[in-house]
Amino acid sequence: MNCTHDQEALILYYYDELTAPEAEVLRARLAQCPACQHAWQKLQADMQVMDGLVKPPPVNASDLQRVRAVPVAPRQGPARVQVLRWVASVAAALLIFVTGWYLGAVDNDDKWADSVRFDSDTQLVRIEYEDDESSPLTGSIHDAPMQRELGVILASDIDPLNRMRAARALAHARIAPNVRVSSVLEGVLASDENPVVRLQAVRALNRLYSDRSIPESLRSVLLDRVETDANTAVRMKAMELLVASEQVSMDTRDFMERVGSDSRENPYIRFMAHSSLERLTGE
Amino acid sequence: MTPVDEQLISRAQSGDAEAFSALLSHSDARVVQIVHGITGNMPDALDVFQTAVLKAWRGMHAFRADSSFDTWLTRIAINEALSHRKKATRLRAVPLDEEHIGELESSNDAPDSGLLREDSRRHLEAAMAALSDRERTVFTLKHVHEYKIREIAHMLDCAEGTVKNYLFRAVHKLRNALS
Repeated sequence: MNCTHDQEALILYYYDELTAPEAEVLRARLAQCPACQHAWQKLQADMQVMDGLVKPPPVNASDLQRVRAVPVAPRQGPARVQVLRWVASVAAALLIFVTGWYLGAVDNDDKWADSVRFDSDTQLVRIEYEDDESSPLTGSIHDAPMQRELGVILASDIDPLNRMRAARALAHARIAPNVRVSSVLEGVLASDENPVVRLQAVRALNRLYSDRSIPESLRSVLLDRVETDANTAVRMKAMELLVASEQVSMDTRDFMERVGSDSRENPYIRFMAHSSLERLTGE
Repeated sequence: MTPVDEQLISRAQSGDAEAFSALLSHSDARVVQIVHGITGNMPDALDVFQTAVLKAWRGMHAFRADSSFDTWLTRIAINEALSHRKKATRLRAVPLDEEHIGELESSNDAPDSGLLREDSRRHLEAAMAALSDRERTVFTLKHVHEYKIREIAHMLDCAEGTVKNYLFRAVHKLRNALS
């Protein structure tokens, strides 16, 4: 009999964590082996002592009420852009679907990042994980696995600082156009609750599409951001990308006319709208 | 997951704070107790839990139905608590376990049954404090809150074999403290 193995099996048996066949084998052994029986009785006695001594503390109901009262109402956009928001929501849902597919295809083992660092000179990224057993990941931002890892952090990390750093790395990198990275960034721009993360995402998109036309889904997201984002810097950057894309469409023209003639609008955004209209109409 | 839970999750994901509070009410006391097992005191546990609740609220859109809300919230709270412990340990000049050991060494109680029990409790508390954060977390989740190893692995984002190893080490150390 292997005693070390048996101690571990006994602990699993105590916690009802053995499979039925494994438990059956152990019971048969306990019935035959006095040493095992003794070990089992000793384990049960120790566990009972622990039961009596390791008790969860009482939690004050009023403390819990206070914690439950923390959530606040979500950010609301102006009523005049409800239709546009609906279109953007559909686009965002599609993006989340694409992102989900993309992340699912990569890896389900979503470890929690502790820190994300990017060196713009070497273009190297280093990701450290909270789990002590996971080795830090270091690699070029141009490598697909690193871009995927940054995508996972952008789409699912609960720490906004990590999401912000992942987006910032992509915003400062000279990466080749990549539809998957673009999809993740679009999703972040459309739905991340943190304005700094959204700002870094739109900067990264600006960089990614500096000399290319933008996809239709991104155009919808950008139109929505310019109209509804609570952060002016995000709205400006979204406007810059819309204008730089120079894609002529009736929607864009109507949008630029509306924004350009709105006296409450930010002057910089109005200026860009006018400039864009001048180019679109050739006036 | 019950249809009511699904409805609450869907409403919470649309920004309904009341639905989110209703979801919280299913599990908040137990999650606070789990966090307490890591932080070691109730004020810190409540602070950590409050941060976890905020993160969960803000990250509701990222919640996927591949685990229950309860497991997801516990996972966020555990990560927050472990991170809190890491920072607290860096700041402390004297580690918690050394303080406990110091208290034990100064103890010279007479060996009657009540004091023996108190002595065992203090030994066990000191041994609990001396466990690594992961060992203590796994032991608390398994022994006190009776989660399955599979669920703990999901909460801690590691393999079931890793959870078993933490559990074996924790039980071994605690039994040594009792003997």
